[in-house]
Amino acid sequence: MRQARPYSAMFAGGVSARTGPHALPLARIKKIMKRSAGDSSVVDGGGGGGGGARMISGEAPVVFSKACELFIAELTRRAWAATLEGKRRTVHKEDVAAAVQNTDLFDFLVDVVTADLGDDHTDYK
Amino acid sequence: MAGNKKRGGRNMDQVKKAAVRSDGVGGSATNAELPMANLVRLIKKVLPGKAKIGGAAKGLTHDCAVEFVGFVGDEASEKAKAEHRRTVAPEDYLGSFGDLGFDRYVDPMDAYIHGYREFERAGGNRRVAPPPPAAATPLTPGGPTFTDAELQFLRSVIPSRSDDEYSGSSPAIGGYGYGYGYGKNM
Repeated sequence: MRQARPYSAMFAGGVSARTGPHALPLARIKKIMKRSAGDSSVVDGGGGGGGGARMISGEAPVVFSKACELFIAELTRRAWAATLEGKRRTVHKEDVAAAVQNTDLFDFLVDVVTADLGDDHTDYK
Repeated sequence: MAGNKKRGGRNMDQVKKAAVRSDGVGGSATNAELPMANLVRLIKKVLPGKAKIGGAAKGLTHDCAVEFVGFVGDEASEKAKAEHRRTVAPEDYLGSFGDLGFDRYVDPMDAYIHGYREFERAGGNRRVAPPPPAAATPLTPGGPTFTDAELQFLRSVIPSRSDDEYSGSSPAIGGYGYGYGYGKNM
């Protein structure tokens, strides 16, 4: 019964009741972004205490909602390629880590995957 | 140097969060920055139908997504501050994608934000779909009417009266076998 949205062709999934036309909730994304802005302000507290960019536009989480979809899609696709190399059909944590390490674009994630693998090794011991 | 230090600090938070998550199963739901169901739905849209995703892979993908938001958001925040603006605009994030190497994200993001603004101008989620036009089927109040052919047929099958009524006249003259009145008129 509902009419299609003007830009509904931009994403394949349907419209869910909780998050509207976005696949990820905007409030959660905004919380992460505000934490990031807060870190920036704290680090430069001495120089520009009152001049930090602490306010985020209402449309910014919309951009990030779509960007996160693209990022997750790209990371998952590369992890699936690593899974196929291992002749498996289940994506493991090591496949995601291999995808991160094989891609220069994801260099900022090396510490995250290394930390997770470290915890994994600790659990094994 | 400052950037590395900052990034190290964020990773420390991630390490602590991971440590907390590894202690209990219920902790992961509480500490999750993004809802896991939405994340898994996005992942399954990309993979073929026969693929499966391990639980640890879901958690690691979630951590990478959170780190991605913080990484790009931090870059955009610094950009806005350098230009002496207190509000971070979507254009700052588009610029950050280009600066950090995510060039292929800039064009879809630009089209998306324009589409979203048009969507908001059209009324957003609150717009109600117009009702479909009613296909009224009016009932004919009047009764059925007969065509001329049907009337001729009905006249031809009406049985004529007995011949004894025509004893005084010959039916061949009038050419009709109908009633007495018709014969006289003809």
